[in-house]
Amino acid sequence: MAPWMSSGLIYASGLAMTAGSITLLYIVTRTFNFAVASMATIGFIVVYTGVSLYGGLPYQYYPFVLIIGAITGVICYYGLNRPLLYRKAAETTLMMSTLGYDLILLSLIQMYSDYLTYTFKLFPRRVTMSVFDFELYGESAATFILPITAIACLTILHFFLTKTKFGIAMRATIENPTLAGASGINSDRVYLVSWIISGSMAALGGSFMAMAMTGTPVMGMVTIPLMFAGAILGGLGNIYGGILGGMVIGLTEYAGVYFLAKQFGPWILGYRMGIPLFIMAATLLVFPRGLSGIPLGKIIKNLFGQKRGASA
Amino acid sequence: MKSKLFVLLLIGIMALAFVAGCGGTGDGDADGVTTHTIVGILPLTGVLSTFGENSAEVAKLAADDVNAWLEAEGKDWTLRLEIDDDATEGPVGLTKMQSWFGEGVQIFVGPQASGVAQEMLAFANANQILYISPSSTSPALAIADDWLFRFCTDDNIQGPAIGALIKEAGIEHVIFGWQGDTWGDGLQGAAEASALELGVEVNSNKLRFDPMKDAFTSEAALLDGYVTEAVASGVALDKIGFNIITFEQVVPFMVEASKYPQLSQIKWIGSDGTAFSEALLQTPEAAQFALDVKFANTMNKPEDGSANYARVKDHVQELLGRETDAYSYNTYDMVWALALCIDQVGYDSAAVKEILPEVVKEWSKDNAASGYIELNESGDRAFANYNIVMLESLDGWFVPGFFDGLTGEITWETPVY
Repeated sequence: MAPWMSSGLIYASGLAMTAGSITLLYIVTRTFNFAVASMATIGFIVVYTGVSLYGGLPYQYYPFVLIIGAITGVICYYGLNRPLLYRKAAETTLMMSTLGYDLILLSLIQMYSDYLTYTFKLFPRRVTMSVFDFELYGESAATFILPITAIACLTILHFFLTKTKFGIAMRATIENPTLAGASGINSDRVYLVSWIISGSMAALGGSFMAMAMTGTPVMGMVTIPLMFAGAILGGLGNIYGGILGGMVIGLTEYAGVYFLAKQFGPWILGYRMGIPLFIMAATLLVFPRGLSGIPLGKIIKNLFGQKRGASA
Repeated sequence: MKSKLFVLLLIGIMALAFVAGCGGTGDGDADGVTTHTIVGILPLTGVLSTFGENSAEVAKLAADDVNAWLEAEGKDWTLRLEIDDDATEGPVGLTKMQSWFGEGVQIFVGPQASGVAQEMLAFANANQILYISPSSTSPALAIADDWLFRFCTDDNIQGPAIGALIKEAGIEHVIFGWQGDTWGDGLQGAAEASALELGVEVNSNKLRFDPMKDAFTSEAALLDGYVTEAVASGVALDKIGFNIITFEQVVPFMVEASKYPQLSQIKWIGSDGTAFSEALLQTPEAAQFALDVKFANTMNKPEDGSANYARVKDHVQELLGRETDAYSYNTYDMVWALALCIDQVGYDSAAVKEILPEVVKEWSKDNAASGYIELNESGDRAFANYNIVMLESLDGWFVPGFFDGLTGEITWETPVY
């Protein structure tokens, strides 16, 4: 596999997780979570700390990433989101509160980076995490492990939402919070769990992305437009759409830029971020509800119907 | 009653904050001793963070030394140094300068990046704010009578050093890759002009990339394609060179490039942005690649024998556990030069600007960490030699030779090509 393709796949897997995190939180709590940027960076920082201080492979630190990501989610929920939700705050207020939380997290990340620099003489401000990986069938192992992990997370989430009692309650709250509350579902717990899942997904996504791009204390801030682009492309109303949107945006950024630069010259490289955002805008113009709004079933049915009609 | 108490408490806190704020940034008197504030706006984060951390520590060292000298001399003022982060981003740097200027600060140390220095220029010129950069090398900022001074030479002097290095490495066909900002564009232009002048063929495909970029998969793949085309046109692989002009992004670039076997067989040339890169040493895969391709960089040459050279070098080694960069020696001299000027004419940016060239010229003869400093009509260091900096092993850099700015020749103490 060409190196750019392998990196694109890894990056897209991470972006898909973060876009899924944004979508999940939006559909449950109406909150556009800007803190996803720093939550993603925390994922990278946790793995970097682990491999630098204790050795081993990045993957063995993913359970810690999930736990710390979940903790950042819980803190944001109890500290900001819950009080605002109970006061029926507007969406803009909810969104801006997460921006404030993001800035606090960013400051803490910067302080922690200084601590690593001055105490352990480490260099957390510019890290190429892929050098901690190992080779599998001549490719970097992350090329296989990370997309599979992303799919596994999605499958677990799907089963959680469709097969468990709490998951079904969660979906009921998403569909109609008032009715769910009246039927005895504890919406507070639903919101809390969504913050836990969302925080974990964002942190895990960040640790994935750092395997393809340079890990820095501001990597989340740099990539947050693309995380939101993925969520918006997915339609914002469907978590699977969000994950798919993130995957499409990530792959477009890598593959699209490479092919365009090969075709039209390296000046295209300067517009790397613009290309996936253009794809997002173009898709939304055709399908205003994003990828999840594409009537795939209908299209397939029509296609097969037409074929049958043609052969008849 | 409770609300009245709360309001009184609030007023009390605000009054306290107001009083504290008034005496916050300097020019305050305490026991007959005046405090003058200078602010170091440095890249503590972003792509120049290694340089920023070095310079911040060196600036603090210089401020301590200045204050020790002031005390020993029985002077009636002390120097207060504040460090602020510009994140290696122009708008951030400008906002920080505006904010400190609002608090009465007129004299600044930094920024390090040309892009940031340029962003600040109009505001500084309009408000008579004096600022000195230790490392902004863009020729576009060589402007006479502006309020930006630079204790480094501009890239019209470094460009020929890179050109000479390309020639010395035996490169006949060079491909350029650089970050597209004021610094990168200026240095690449100067290096390309010099290479052409020395008879080196320049590839028509050029990799100009976003300075904020963090992933280089496409660039490495494209570079591999350009090398393949050059070989197909009859150029031997070992006669092909790649000049990368960037900062710490060289690490992910090299990690990506290491996935293409022929890219480790061409010669790689860097610049002052990558010399002594700690980020490179921290990433063994990239360091191994740099060793394999004999990655050679040019870097402003401080005078080894100068009085404070060893002091700065040892201080950073002890505190951060690494070799400091050449520009941090300039930072040490900047703080001293400003302090000496303030000592002579007081905290007045216009008066300091007037005497700075003469003061630094005199003082640097015996005391400067970076060697003798003479400023030209643009307020930039007039001339300098350049060290050639290469990796000696996976753990450290060494200086096998230097480029003489006057003769345009490279002298090798340890031949490497």
